[in-house]
Amino acid sequence: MEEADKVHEEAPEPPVLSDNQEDKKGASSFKGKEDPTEEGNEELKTKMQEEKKDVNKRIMSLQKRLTTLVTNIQTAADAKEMERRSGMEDNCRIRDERLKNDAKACQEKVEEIRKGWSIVNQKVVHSELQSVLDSQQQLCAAVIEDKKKLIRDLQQERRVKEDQYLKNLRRLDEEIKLMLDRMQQQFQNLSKAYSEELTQLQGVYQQEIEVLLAKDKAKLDKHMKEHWDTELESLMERRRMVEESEKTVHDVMLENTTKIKLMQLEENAKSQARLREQQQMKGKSVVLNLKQLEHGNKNAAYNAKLEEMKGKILGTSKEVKNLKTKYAKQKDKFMKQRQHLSEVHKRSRQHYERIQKEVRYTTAADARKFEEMWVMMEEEVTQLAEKALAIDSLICKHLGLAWERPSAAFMESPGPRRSQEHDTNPSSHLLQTRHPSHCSQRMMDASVGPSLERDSEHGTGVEEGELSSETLMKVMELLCDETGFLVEDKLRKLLVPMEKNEQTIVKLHSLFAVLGLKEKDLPKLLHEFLLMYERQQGERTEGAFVEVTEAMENSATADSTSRLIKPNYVLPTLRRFLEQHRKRSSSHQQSSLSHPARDTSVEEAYWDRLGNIITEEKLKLWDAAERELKQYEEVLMDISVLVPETELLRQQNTELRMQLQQILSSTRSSN
Amino acid sequence: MRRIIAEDLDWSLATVSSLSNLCLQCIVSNFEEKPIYEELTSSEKDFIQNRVSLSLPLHFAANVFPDGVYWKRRCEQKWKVCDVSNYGESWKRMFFERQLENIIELFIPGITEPKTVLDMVTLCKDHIKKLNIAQLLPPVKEPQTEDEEQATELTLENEDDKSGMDHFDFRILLDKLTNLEELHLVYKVKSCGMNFEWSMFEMTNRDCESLAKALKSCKTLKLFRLHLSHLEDKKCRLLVKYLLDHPSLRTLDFSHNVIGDSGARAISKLLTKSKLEILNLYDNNIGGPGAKAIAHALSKNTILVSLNLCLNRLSDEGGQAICKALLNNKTLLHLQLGANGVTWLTALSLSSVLAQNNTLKSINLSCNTLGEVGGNALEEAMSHNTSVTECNIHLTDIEERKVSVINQMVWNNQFRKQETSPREKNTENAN
Repeated sequence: MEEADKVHEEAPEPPVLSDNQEDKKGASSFKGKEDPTEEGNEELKTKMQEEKKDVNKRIMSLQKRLTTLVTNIQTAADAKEMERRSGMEDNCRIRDERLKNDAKACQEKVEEIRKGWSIVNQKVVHSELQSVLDSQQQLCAAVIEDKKKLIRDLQQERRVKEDQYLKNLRRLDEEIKLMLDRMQQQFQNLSKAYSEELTQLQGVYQQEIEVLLAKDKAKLDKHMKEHWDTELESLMERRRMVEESEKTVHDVMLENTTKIKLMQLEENAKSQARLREQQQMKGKSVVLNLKQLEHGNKNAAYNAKLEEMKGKILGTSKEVKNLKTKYAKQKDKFMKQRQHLSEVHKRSRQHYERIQKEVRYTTAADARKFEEMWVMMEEEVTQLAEKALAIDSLICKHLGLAWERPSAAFMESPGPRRSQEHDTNPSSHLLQTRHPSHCSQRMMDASVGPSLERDSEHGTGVEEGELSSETLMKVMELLCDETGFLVEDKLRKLLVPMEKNEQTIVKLHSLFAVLGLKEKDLPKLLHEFLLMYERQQGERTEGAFVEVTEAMENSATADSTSRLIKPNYVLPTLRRFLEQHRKRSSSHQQSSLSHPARDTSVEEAYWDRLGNIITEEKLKLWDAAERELKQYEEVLMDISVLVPETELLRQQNTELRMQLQQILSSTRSSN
Repeated sequence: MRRIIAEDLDWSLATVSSLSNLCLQCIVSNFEEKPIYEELTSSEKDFIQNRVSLSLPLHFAANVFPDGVYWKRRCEQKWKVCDVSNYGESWKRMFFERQLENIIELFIPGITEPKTVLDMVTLCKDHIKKLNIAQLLPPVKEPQTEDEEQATELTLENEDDKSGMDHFDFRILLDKLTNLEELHLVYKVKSCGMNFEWSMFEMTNRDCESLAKALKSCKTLKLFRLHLSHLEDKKCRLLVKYLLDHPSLRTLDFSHNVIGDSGARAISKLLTKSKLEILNLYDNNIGGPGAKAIAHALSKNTILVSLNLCLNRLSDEGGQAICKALLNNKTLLHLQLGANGVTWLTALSLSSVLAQNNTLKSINLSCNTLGEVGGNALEEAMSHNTSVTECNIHLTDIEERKVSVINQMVWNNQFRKQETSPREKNTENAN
């Protein structure tokens, strides 16, 4: 076994060496082959391929070597196992044979012993028997000995086997160690081989590269040389060209310089001529300047003044501007204020109107209340009077006097106020329902009415129809003429181009506006005028203003057609009218606020009558009656005090009588 | 600022981290009470994964963190060696797989609560693709005195005893792991020391039955490996019975067991009734009859790619049968018949196959006494063959020269393949 192992273990090594040698040879052969590579590319290519193939081969062989080693070891192990198996089988067979032999021998001996036992049965003699027994014993002992021997042998064999097994184990251990070492070695070898291979390959490739490099270098040198030559040629050419061009440039420069110098000379001459001209001009200008200086002084003075003026103007304009702005501001301010004030005014006016309304309403309400109160009071008073009368009648009856009702008609009739109320009711209704202005107008009419009536009574001659438009117009004209001072100048100027009628109308309007009258007052005014005229006439006759009337008469006679007032009287009449008008308007206001005047006298009488419904005499009578009655009452009171006493006494009497009767009866019975 | 520095000597502008960092730090420190993770940006997530405490409860962390730095940290905290490439570059998968493996390996039937496994399974069922269980502990033995006291109920006791020796029941586990693809099992106890018993290194009948049922329930399993578990014919038959018509199983590995001819017969039935692509029966006890059965199945099979029968007892009877079967098979790529006691007869029939068949890629005939005749036949066959890229004929008593010749031919084949494949690639690239 060991030998086989050794053989086998040694086996892998030689190939490695040989391979290495081969590799080296290969490498050297490569080296040999590399020399002619310089000859051509094609050869190089083919060689490269070959090299590649070789490299492939080598790598494959290396790979194979790795596996072969393992397989070798495995096969060796297999072989060992085979050997072990066959050895075991051999041993088993030998043992079996031996056992069989032993068994056979035993059988024979047992047979012999059996035979011996049959002999023992035949023998009777003691000595013989003894000998036979001995021999039998010996045989048995021999068998036992054999068996023991066999057992000992087998045991020894086993021991040997055990030892062998132990040895085997140890050897295996050693082998494994050896194998490990071998593996390590192999590993190292392989790695070494690989690294060598690598270095060789590297060398090969490097050489190749060097060769290629050299070749390329040569090529490059060649190319470079050619290139340099061409470059040199071109450079030479260029140099020649440069030289030529330099020459031409030099020539051109020379020409140019001469030309330039000529030009300069010409220019110099020209410039000198110009300088001369300039100097001449300067001389002229100096003279001119002197003249101008004189002018300049004057101008400067003017200019200074002008500037001052300008400054002033500017200042003023600035001021103006400021003022304008101020003005604008003020204007705005005032406008605003005006607006504000107008608003305030409007508001206060509205407020005032409202207050007026309230006042009107409250006065009306107060009046009503007052009237109601009044009526109520009247009723109460009448009732009281009735009561008094009733009491009077009672007293009279009591006294036994004849009582007559004083003026029953008066008593039955309602109070003056109540009756009045009945009359004024519709008008009051109207007052309440109608619009205030309307109502006031009506009131005014009512108040004016009588005066007008009165006027109409006085001035019967003056009728509506008589108040023709002509007269009216004339009156109006008169009025306007007389009161012309009241009309503004501007208006008068404006009115100049107008017709007379229009003028008068416009003037009247303005006049009315000034006097605070309204157009509706116009007819009244005219009436007044006319009335005044009439009255004047009347007065004249009475002789109050005799002279005046005379004059008026004269005038009247003078223009009898027109019975107009004299212009001289226009103003006083107007004043009077105005006074009247103002009074009236104030009275209107008052009347509109207060109630219509009451008839106090009637009411006084009424109240007096009511107060005196119980006359003085009657009062005296009442007093006397009272006194009497009081006396009577006193008497009655005395009586009423005495009545219970008498009652008591009567009772006592009756009791006593009863007792007496009893006593009497008792005595009688006793008796 | 100057005043602050003057009053507080430890104060410096550098130590004041930005507000966002402080916020993240706060989130980290209160992560268990208020996990804010999904709404953060990727850089903030990284920050949190780098800082969050590793002692967070698993059921909490499993739902919050996807695969990433956090699981890497947990793995590195738990195990010294972490090769994430074995776990699909997923640290989370690695963590859960190893965690579950640990739990199962330390599972003691009757003492450990099955709930611990189930709790873990609910957490990690989506992440586990591979389970490599390196040991299965037997239940703790009761003292024998008790058995003697209850001698009256002996029969029942025996049954109980048998069941008492059962290992972890995979039925509660496998049907819940919806993504499981690989299962590696070994019924053995690691570092048992002087407590060694053969029963520790084999599965019981009940184990076998429960495992078989569990395998049937796991519909996603692609690779099942049960090795070094003293699997006998009977148990093998049982397992195979439940594995018939498995929808997804592609690889079956019963290496290092004691399967005999009847087990091999059962497996040959499985070959006809499943979609197995790789079958590994390395180091078993299959003899000629079993090999014949497998050869019969192989002649009809069109799926199997790799067949490993190394270290069996096929002998020429089995070897020849299999080689004959290969005359009808065009799918098998790898055939391993090493250490089977076959001789030049098998080599002859194999060489006749190699002359015809151009699908076989690798052959292993090592440790067989093929002798000169076999070597000549193989050399002859290999000269006509272009497909075989691996041929292991070590220790076959063939002449060294011929071995190297054959190797050279194989080497050429391989090289040719290497040559063609890059060219194809080049043309593809050009297109």
